[in-house]
Amino acid sequence: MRVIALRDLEQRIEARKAELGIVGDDYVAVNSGAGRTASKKALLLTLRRLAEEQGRDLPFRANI
Amino acid sequence: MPYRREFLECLNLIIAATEEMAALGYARPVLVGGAVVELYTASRITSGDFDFVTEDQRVFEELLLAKGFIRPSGIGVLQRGLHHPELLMGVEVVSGPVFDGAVPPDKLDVVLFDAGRLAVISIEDIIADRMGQYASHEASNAEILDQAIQLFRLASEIDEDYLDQRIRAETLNTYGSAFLKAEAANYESHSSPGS
Repeated sequence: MRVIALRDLEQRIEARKAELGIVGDDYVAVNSGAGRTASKKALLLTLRRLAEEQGRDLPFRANI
Repeated sequence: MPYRREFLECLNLIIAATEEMAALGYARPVLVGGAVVELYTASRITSGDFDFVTEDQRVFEELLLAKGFIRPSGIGVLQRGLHHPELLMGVEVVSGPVFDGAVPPDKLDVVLFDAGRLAVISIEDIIADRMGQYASHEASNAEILDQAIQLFRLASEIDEDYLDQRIRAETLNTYGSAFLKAEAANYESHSSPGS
């Protein structure tokens, strides 16, 4: 079992990115959503409807 | 702080509920799924919900409801999970052991947040989980393989024997860690300057 503070985890990830020369935020692909369960699809649709009702953007990127 | 605000605020609420469970003598629910990818990429990939596994689903969901999460109701509602109407994030709770008992308790990790301790599957297990999804339908899951590769690249510490064992288990022995290493090396050669 590893135990790590969030800030240390973040620093390790940022250090690895620097070692690898990763720049920007788009180097990890977003899920296509093809494998989602019906329940998961319903949950994401609920969140999208709420966001629309509140005139806000969803706080995450997803193919819904 | 690269972690996005909603991710941290929602997770701190959930962790507070898991702390209450621990205080009541229950085992801490364990974070699995896409939110673990977000955790181990520092929000470079974002998830709309948090998947937790626990043997005490009813207790955990009652505590989440007390933290402001909502359960939709009505005839024909497919949604099993809860959601937070202000943070616009969801939680799905699954009853049972982590990976159907394939992960021993000493292979779970803990991340320390402001609200307390988060029990979470290891980087090896989330990579194996992604590889399992990829192996189940390669044609429609190319992005899932990419997530596994990026998680592997970003990991600062990997138990390679355990990673190989878990990938083989989740992919029914179709893949092992050698495949992932080769894909990551291929990625490096194609993304290096001048290539």
